[in-house]
Order: sequence, then structure tokens, then C-alpha cells
Amino acid sequence: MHRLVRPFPPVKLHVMDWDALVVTLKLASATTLILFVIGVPVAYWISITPRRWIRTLVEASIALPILLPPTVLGFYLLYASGPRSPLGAMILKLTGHALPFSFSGILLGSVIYNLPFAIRPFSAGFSAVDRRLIEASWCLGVSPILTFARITLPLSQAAILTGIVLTFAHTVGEFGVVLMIGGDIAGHTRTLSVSIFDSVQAMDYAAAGQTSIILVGFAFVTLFITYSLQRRVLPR
Amino acid sequence: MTDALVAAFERRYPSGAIVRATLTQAVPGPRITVLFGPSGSGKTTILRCLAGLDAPQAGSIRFGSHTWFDATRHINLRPQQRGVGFLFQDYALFPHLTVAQNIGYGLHGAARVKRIEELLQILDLPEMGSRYPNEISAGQQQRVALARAIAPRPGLLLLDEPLSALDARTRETLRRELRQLLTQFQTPAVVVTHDPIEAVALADDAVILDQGRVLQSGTVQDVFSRPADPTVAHIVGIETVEPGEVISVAEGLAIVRVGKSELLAVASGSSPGPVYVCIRGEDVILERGHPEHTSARNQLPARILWLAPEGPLVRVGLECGFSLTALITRPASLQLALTPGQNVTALIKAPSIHLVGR
Repeated sequence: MHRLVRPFPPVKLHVMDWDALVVTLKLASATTLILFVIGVPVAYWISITPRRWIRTLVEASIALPILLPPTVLGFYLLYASGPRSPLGAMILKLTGHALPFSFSGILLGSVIYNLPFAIRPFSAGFSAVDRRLIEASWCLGVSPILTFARITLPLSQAAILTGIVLTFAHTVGEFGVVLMIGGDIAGHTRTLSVSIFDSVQAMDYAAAGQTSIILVGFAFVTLFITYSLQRRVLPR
Repeated sequence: MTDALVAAFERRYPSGAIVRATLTQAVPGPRITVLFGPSGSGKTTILRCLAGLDAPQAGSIRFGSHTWFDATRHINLRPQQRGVGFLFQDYALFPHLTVAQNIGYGLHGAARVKRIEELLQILDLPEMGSRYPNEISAGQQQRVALARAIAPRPGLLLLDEPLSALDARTRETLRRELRQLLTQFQTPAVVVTHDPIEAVALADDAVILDQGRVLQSGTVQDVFSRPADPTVAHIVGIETVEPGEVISVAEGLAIVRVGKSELLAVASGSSPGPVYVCIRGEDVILERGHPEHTSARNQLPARILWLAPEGPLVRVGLECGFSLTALITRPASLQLALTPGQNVTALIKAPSIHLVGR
């Protein structure tokens, strides 16, 4: 089996890996945006479908990444999207480049890996909206889609924000999936957490420490925001 | 002539429970029909089926010339297509919208603002437009919910326990007000309630339900004072409902003329004018001869018309200037040796006579 992690480049002592920060922010923003767009309809479907078996199946599949080691997901994605698999070959043919070791690759992995962090808060928020408010809107002649936009969405504001913040933050801290699919290419697939791993491998503890403290601060701020948002879930 | 509602349908639940409804408006015009029965009798199910929020498995619902539901023709209009106004039990006001935005929710176009203003006026909600639902009282919330339901000028109003979320005092005031408003809107309405006084106060017609079946329907006075069978009598709980007129009110007490008799009742907000006089059978005491010392203010010479044994109780029909029903125990009936045609005195305490304004 070929090595997934490339041999390390010659050690350069640096304090802060700015490229990694840019890649990380780009990845987190794109992941969050994509998960908002596909997460809202999926979460809404989960919150209203009367088919309990299918709903449970979908919910369980979406929640898988919470229990699976990131390396397992990364391995399957790498395997499925590699040029030797039919899917990978098709992607190569259609887009002109392969998914492994590219930004698109880590984005795909990150989106799948973050599904539960977006969809679970979204659907919890939608389910918490009083059913009678929705029925009241229907009786006043407003279509189901407009009712969603005018009632359900505004009333689950806090849950949506929670999902967005959690997804963004979780992507910033993600390591396993990114390393498995993306390798460690500076400026393309090397994120902050991979950069820390790099620095430690190179025994550059000063750089690792600095990047780490940034991530600790970031995680704390995120959780602080999330908890204060959850207080606001209660109706005004 | 207003559109008439003709509904006969069946809603089956997986648990085995079945709700069968037959509703027809006997009299044309904007009538108020009350669905009355104990909880679990299927009242709310019927209301939800009429609104299109629940689908029956069999039967049909027609309103005027429109078919809303027909099981054999596979027609089931969505709530949006039926044009009904639905007032939910706890109002279901949109918490993130102001009072004005709530009322205007179902409206669009140029007339929206004018209609909101008009309804704020009619429902006596001045300066309330910019408040949020949690900033106004329960009574005001109820009026906002009514305004919101009536705003798009629905063909039919459906009210689910409209007064049950209010405290006793507010309920009494709003009961009178609601009847006036509903009459003013000139919209036919179906009201669900389990409170007999509320039913008499609001409705023209009554439909008595129990365990998913319609037991009796007709005008409210008919159904309440002439129940078809003991089950209905037991459910309605008020044996006597007679039209009367408050002649005078003094020091909180009212003198009411009912048929050929005059009664003393606690006024509780009534003013001179037509009322329904409601008396429960268990509140009537029967005596032979004339009582000498009693606190009961109403002592009516009465003639026994009929006796109907009902388990440990006996239902006694009396003529005392109006028809009155008493509910006494079997031993009491035996001791007094009551027989039809006999003369007795009926005693009723003034606080046991409930006056329901019209």
C-alpha cells in the first residue's frame, strides 16, 4: 500500500503557518455554506416525514460520523474516489482532476463528516416549532413552502445558527479526514490541525504551540456562542 | 342566503377509535353551531376534518356549491383551498410577529393595512398593533386570534374551545362579547366546547357528541331542555334551558320572568333584556305542601308531569309556569310518594339559576 502522508519537506522554522489558516478558513466556510444549502431541506424532511422507519434510517446514517473514526471515513472516500475505482474514474473524466489530494477532495470529506453537526441541530429546531402555528398558517391560505419561510425558519433561527457555528468550528478542528484524503500539501490541503501535526513531527514545538493555542481559543469562543444561542431558543 | 355546510364522514384511527360525524345546517343563514361533548368525544377531530387538517376515510364534506372532501371521488381540498378561519384552543399566535402582523398574516395587497386597522378597531385593540403576543393579556390574545382568523373574510369560522384558555372572570365577559362579534361578522361558525353554559351562550344550534357519535342535534334550547335519551341528558348536565327576560336588577340580584313565573337569580353581569335561564336538575328541591322556613328564594307551586327512573335517581318533569326538570334520588321519590298529576313545591336557590345573556 502506498503511503498516504508524503515525506516531510525540509524543516523551516516558522512561527505561524498563514497558508494553513487561509486553507482552513476557506474549507470551513465552503463546508458550512454547502451544509446549510443541503442541510435545511434534509432536516425539514426529517422533521415532518410521517415514515418513521425511513426517517430513523436517514438519521442514523447522518449521525454515523459521530461514532466512526475519521480515518475510516477518509479511507472509504479515498478508496471510492481514487482513479482505480469506477466512481473515481468518472470524476476524473468529468472534471479533469482526481479528488484525492485536492481541495475538492477534502471539501467533500469535510461535508460528509460534518453532516450530523449541521442537520441534527437544524431538524431539532424545526421539530420544536409548534405544529399548530404551521397549521394556523395553512388555514390562513399560505402555502407549505411560504409557511416554512415565514414561520418555521424564523422560529428556528437559534437552532440554525447553532448548526452553522458547530459545523464551522468542527471543520476548523478536523484532522483525520483531511489528512487521509488531502495529504499535506501546503496552500492546498494543509489545514491548521495538519500544520500542528507537521510542526510536531519536525520538533518545531514553538510553532505547534502557537497554532494550538489559537485553536483552543477558537473552540472556546465557539462553544460560548453556541451555549448563549441555545439560551435564546426559548420563545421571546 | 349564506352557504350551508353539509358533512357526513368517518375518521378511523389506528387505535380502533372511530369518529362519525353528520352535520347539516337546518336553517339557512349565518348560524352558530356548537359541537358539545365530553373530552375524547371527537369534537376536535370533526373540526380538523372540516378545516382540512385531518382527512376522513369515508364520506363527504360540502360547503355551499363546493365539495371540500369526497372519499369516493378522491377529492380532498387542502386547508389553503377551503377558505376557513380556524381559531385554535390556545390561539397559536405567531410569537415572532406583532399583533398587526399576526392579523395581516393571511392578507395581501393594498387593502391589507386598512383591514388590519378596521379589525383592531372592531375588536377593541387600540394601540396594540405594534406589541408582541406575549406582551398582551390572554383576553387580548384571544381577540387577536379571532381577528387573524376573520381577516381574510372566510366563508366558515371554526373555533376550538375558544374560551377555555381564559380565567373564569375573563371567560364570562368574553362569552357575551364573542356571541356579539360572531353575529356581527355574519359568518357561519362551528364552535367546539365542553362547557354547557358556553354552548348555550354562543350557539343557535347544538350537536351532542359522545364517543365519536352524534347523539342528538337541533336548536340549542331543544337539545338542552329536551334531551333525546338519558345519555344526552347526562352529557349536557343542564336539564332546564328556558328563554326568559330580566325585568330588573338591584343589588346584584335579578328578577327574571320565565313563562308565567318570576324567579330571583344572581345577576352576575346581566342587564335587563332577553336571557336563557339554565337550571341543573340536581339544584331543584321538591317538597310536599308549603315550606315555612327556608333560605331558598324561589318557591314555585308545581305539578308533576312525568317521572323517569334512572338507576338510583329519578328525573321529574314539572310544570311551574314553565317546564322544569328535577333530579332526585329514588328513596326521596318513594318517601314523598310522587305520582304524575300531584302538586308539589319546587325550591331553587337564587345562585343555582344561571342567566346566559343573548
